[in-house]
Amino acid sequence: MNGFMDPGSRRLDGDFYTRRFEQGGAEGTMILNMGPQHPATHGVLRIIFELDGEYIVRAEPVLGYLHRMHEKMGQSQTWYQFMPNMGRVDYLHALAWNWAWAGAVESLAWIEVPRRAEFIRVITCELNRISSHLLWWGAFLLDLGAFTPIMYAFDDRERILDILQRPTGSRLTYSFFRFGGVAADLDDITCDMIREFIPHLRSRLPMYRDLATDNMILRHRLEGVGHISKTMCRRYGATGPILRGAGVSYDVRRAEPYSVYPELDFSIPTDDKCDAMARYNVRMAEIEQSLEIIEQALEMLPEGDFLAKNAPKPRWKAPKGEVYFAVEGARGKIGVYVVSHGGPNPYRVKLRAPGFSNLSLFAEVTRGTLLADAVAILGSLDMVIPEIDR
Amino acid sequence: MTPRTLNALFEDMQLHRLERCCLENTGLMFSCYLSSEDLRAAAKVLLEQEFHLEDISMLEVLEGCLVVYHFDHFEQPGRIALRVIVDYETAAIPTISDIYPGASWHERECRDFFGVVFTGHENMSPLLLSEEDAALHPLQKEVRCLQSLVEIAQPGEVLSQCKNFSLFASFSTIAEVEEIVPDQSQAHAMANKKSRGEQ
Repeated sequence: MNGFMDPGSRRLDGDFYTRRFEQGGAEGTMILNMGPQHPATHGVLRIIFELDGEYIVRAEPVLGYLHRMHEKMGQSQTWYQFMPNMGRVDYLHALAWNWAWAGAVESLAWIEVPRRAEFIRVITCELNRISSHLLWWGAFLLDLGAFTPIMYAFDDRERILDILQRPTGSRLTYSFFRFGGVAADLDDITCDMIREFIPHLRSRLPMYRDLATDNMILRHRLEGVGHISKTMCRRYGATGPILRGAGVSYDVRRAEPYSVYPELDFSIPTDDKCDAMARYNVRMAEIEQSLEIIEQALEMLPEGDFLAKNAPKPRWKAPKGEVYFAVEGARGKIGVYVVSHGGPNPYRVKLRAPGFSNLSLFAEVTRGTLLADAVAILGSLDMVIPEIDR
Repeated sequence: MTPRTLNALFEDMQLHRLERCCLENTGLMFSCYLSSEDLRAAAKVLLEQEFHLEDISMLEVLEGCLVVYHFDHFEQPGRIALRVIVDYETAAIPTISDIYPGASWHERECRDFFGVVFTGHENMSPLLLSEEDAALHPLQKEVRCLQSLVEIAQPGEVLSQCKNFSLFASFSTIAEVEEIVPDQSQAHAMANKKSRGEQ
């Protein structure tokens, strides 16, 4: 942290954003830079605070440290070549982004996906969602000063990575989906590994609850902190566990059903307390729901192709048109808006990252809170910076 | 949401064109073209009706810069796209960031990538690009790469259309345009782009 200023003599130093931010400051306040290299910002996010004592008067996130211009890459590569980029947009829930891109192109070109492929997509995507939530759980508690949970979380997450490694061939930045299916089949060994994993994680969840969720210190840090109401979510377009933590039962898997989700029986966990604890509870309940989905999908997994027979070849061109396709990621609604002019590469690609809208409410929700609570709020938003900066 | 309720909501403003889209193929329920003067009023109506803003994106076409606002509803899902075409010459559109605070970052992102200014926005400083690259606008297309909107858009079922609305013409020239052949609009876009380049 740097940027301490003597309140008496306002020196305008620092970079463009600090100077700009300082100009609106009140008398007797302190400007504090948190990040870009700060452990509680998960990646390279920078936030400039104006502090009155320990209370936050104003906050402004500064983005762009991980900006890679994925949209431009999408517009200058072929339809197929853009798929690996999707695993790099949000590396924690890479398969949801895979799905968003594949689904957008499939609905643009009316490509049929075999039923087996749909179930493989559901199983792998939900496993990936659990691994994302587990990493969030560990890292969030680490932010709050609890070191042990991340060790347990990584132990379980490691098993998911081992499972997903078999069909996808990678451990983090998956590029597994294809237009019209997936790249590889789920073999019997993988299915058995998943069948073993489900009861294992179920048996671990009560331990997680005893270890962290019911912990008095954690509850004092999270209860009543960072009140994000339904109205605020609507004004900022916040989705995912933040919105469900405000008591709204909104999930793209139910609201705009895609794939075979309508056939699966699962509930949408909500909590109407609107605080950081509510968002925590929603994510923990989502892990259980994802396990339910995987169990059912494994049971229903039909025989057949994992890739459509007439699936597009690498030099394939999409027909003219435009499409907006949304899926539910671990952090909220992922949207891909694609416009095609019938050429070898997309005419326009727009990626809607859920974290982008979720983080934009940070300035409003932290106004008047303690700096230490701001860290708890930031963690409860579950950000992945590469996704926000794209 | 039915077309009638949508028309009733927007009765105070003039919709240039209202389309019902194929949900499976486009992900949209309704697509609505309007002028930039009516944009803020339309955003206010949608906020009152409890819609949330998903994103703001831009599309550079021969007819001008198309700004697309995607809205959706938590309780009654159904995506509505508001579309406004701005001239390359003016390249300015009123902000809705005071109505939807979430629009603020989306608008700053659009300014970074396309150079379109959102008038009335309290902070138009670069968001994703660094301040040295504020004039870079990486997603701007060269004129020879521009396509016509009519060519690429999938027109849905047109529910209503303003008499003098022509997709081929930019809004500033609606009054005098009866029919525009694509060649002329290309020349128009070329002139627009050129003048923008000189600035």
